Amino acid sequence: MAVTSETPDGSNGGDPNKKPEDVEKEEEEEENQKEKPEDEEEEEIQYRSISFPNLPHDLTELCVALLRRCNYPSLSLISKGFRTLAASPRLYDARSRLGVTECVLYASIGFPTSSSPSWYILRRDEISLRLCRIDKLPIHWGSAVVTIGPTMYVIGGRSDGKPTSDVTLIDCRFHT
Amino acid sequence: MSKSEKKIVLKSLDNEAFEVEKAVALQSQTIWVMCEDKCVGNEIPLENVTGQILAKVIDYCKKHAVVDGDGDESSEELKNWDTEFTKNMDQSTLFNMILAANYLNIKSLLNLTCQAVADKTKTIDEFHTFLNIENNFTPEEEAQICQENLWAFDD
Repeated sequence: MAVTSETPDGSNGGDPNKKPEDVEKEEEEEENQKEKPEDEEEEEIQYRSISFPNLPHDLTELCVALLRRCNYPSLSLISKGFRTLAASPRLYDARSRLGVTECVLYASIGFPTSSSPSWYILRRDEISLRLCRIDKLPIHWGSAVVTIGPTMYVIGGRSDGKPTSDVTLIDCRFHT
Repeated sequence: MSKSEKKIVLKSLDNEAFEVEKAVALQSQTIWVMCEDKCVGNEIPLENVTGQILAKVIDYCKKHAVVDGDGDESSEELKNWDTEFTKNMDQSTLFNMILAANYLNIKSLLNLTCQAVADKTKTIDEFHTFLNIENNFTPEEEAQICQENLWAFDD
């Protein structure tokens, strides 16, 4: 079985544990943002403190936004701060503004001998094209996959021989 | 227009003076606004840029200026020149160039220098050596992130 889907600026991952309830919660949070509570301001200050030595945050963000998406895992290993930056929706916004978002092909591939299929992404570099397996993303035999913009909904399927009604959401933008 | 009106003097932080064609200097939006508002004479003090960096900025602007129909260089040639221009810059020069491009508001130079930083930092070792940032993960945390991102490090 193979399901393929292409998402704008996907990267290498998604949150396997994100259930539909979280989606609702996120929407609520967005509404709250308008009021800007204090802890959010603190978060803002913390976010803006992430920078390269001797370079202000805005210019650091610009440099990082110009990195290729496949270098983000390395970026997130620099320090805790840069891990936050690499997974930040704001960095995605910056990439969108610059028009440097990349398309990433996700493919779900399974073999009859394996207990469940796995997600792969097509990794492109200067020399070759290669499928890389990402174990942390969810997929079952027979799951339906729907993509809306940069998010993929993995719906239903068969888990350990039993039908499941699980729906999981993979956001392809904010991952390292 | 007399010859003197076509020239402009840029003065760096350390008082180094550079006389350049106006068309060269006006690629900087900051200088363009200053001239437009007539708030400066023929000499413009740039208090955030050292002479060493300003000289490089002027090199770039000269290459990219279209002076009296002299801008017939092909875009391919310009691109190669740009690559050579940033190729051997060290971290501190590159960061100072970014700061200068930002202050002088020269978009293409800002993009070029930021892209150069992005190109020089791809692997984790390059990040640590080029940027000189301390790794504050515990070995366990680091191993966990590597595990999560196994696909990216498997070559």
